[in-house]
Amino acid sequence: MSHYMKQKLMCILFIDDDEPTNFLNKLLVEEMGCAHHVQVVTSGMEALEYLTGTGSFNNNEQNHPRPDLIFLDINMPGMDGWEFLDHYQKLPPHQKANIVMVMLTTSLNPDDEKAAQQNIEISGFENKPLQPEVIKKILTRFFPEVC
Amino acid sequence: MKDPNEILLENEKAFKSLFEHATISILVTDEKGDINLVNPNAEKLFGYTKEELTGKSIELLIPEQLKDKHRHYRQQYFKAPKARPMGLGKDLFALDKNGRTFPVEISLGYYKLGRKKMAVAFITDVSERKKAEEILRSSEETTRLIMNSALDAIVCIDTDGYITVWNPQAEKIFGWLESEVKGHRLSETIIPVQYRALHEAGLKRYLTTRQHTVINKLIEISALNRNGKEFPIELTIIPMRQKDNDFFCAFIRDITERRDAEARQKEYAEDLKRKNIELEQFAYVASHDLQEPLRTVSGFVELLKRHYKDQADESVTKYINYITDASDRMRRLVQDLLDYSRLGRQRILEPIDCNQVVADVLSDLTMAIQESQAVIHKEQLPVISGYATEIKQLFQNLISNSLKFRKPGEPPVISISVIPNENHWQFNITDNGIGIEEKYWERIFVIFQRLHTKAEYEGTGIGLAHCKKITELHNGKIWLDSTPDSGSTFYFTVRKRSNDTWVGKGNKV
Repeated sequence: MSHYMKQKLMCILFIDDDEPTNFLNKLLVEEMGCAHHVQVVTSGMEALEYLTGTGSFNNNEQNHPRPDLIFLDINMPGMDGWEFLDHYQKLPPHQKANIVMVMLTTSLNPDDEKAAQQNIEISGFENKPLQPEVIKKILTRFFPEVC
Repeated sequence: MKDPNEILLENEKAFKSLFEHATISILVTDEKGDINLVNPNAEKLFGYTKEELTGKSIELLIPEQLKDKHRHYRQQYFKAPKARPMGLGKDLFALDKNGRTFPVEISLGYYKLGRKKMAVAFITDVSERKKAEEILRSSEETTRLIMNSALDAIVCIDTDGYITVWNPQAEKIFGWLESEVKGHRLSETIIPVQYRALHEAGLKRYLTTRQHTVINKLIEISALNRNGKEFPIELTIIPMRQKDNDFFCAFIRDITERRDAEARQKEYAEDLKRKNIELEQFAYVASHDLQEPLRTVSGFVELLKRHYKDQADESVTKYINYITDASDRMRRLVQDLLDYSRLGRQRILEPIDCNQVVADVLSDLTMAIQESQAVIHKEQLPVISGYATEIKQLFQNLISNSLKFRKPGEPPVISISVIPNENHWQFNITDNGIGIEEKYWERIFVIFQRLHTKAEYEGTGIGLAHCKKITELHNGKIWLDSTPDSGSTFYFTVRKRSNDTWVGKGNKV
């Protein structure tokens, strides 16, 4: 691998129930070319299935690499972001090791940001819509070898 | 002129008659203490006959523990005999034939019979009087206990306005001791300057004309304490009369704390009311103003669609559809918010026949019911007092939820019933639908909270928030019981009013 060639993340996972939002986010990171695979799921349950290789992601390990970076929406129907985190925390270590989790929200509620800061699984708290600068900032901070 | 002997004889007869008929008991003893004479009243009092007593020692009639003392006093008496009451200041007791000890009062007399010194005892049984005194004393004791332990300050004045009674609670409330104010004028102590003339005039008017404005009722006014601080009190003045003497008693309570609490409560209530109005206005104005730019977005997206109808590629069509969907959704959310803020604006309670309401709702939902082949059981429902539009919406939301969240491939079965509780009507709506996990039982009532994706079930997530607000408008609650995969029961209550009935005019049973 030559020194000027940009490294890429293996996989970025977006968890958001809003389809247009997912579309835009996926488009953004694909255009930036910073990941080999961009996965979109529309619920916390689906995300857990992806991470554990169960449900619709059963026996499909090749096509569904473990994510390096997760963007998680707070406000989702049924299992919301917080509840997903409760389940995520209980996953066996090999299914969540080295994953950077960033919370994404349109919430103007400062309590949410405070709660995010207190949750050890969360590395960042960003507002929607996701901007290229925000992605660059996150990559610089957590994945310096990618930039 | 009569024979002196004859006169003597007549006198003796007269004295004998006095002795025999006296209503007081009389005993005569000699110096040795032996009984010589007993009158009939004494026989009656002690229960012995004259024959049984004559010649016996007087100590026979003295209780055991006093016999020695009595013997001693008797001997002393004969050293300087004279007529006097016996045992001055002491309680005297006698003993009758039955062994009963009873209180007596005795006067002593003395005469000589030749050389013999004779003592006469005039004895009165004072049992009844002692008993009456005891009753009086204990009733005074009771009065004193009541006065001392009363939570009210009790202050009495005579007709000239001088303080006669001042209980411990009055000392506590006003700061003056009883000894400091007794005999002082009330108007110079606890009555604030501005009320003094009124007090004097009122007192005078009552005494001359018996007209009054403040007597026998609860009055809120202010009073002064020893430090000159004016504070709010509540008092009742009762006029009293004892042995032709008029006086007035006031029962007084310091209501400073209550007044403060009332003021605070009023402040909170007003604050809450103001905030609620602000919030309603905020939601209303915000949703109204949000509609405007939204209409602009929708309008221009429509233009774009038309403009690129023939030349748009797949992506552009997709983008435009996203914008259309999002702005439609936004419009629904804003509309829901507007409806939510408007709930209960027209607060006019009217009788509502719930049977009719449910019939109307079912008729509105005919399509959905037919499509899903739903079976609906409705028990007899009451006529309640409520806000008509809101109550209909409440039933509509709950019934349509039961239809919407049915189990795939299974016709919905919905039961609507009611339980009359003491203060509320409790309605129950049970279905055989998909059910709700317990961890979501509270969250589902929060505005715009949804449990399913838009693809699974349509909606903005406002229905149950509406239901919650509507039940609260009717002083009720809403809650549920549910088993996932087997069904839910939603319960809601509505305050019962006195004119609620089971059968209304529009009720076709």
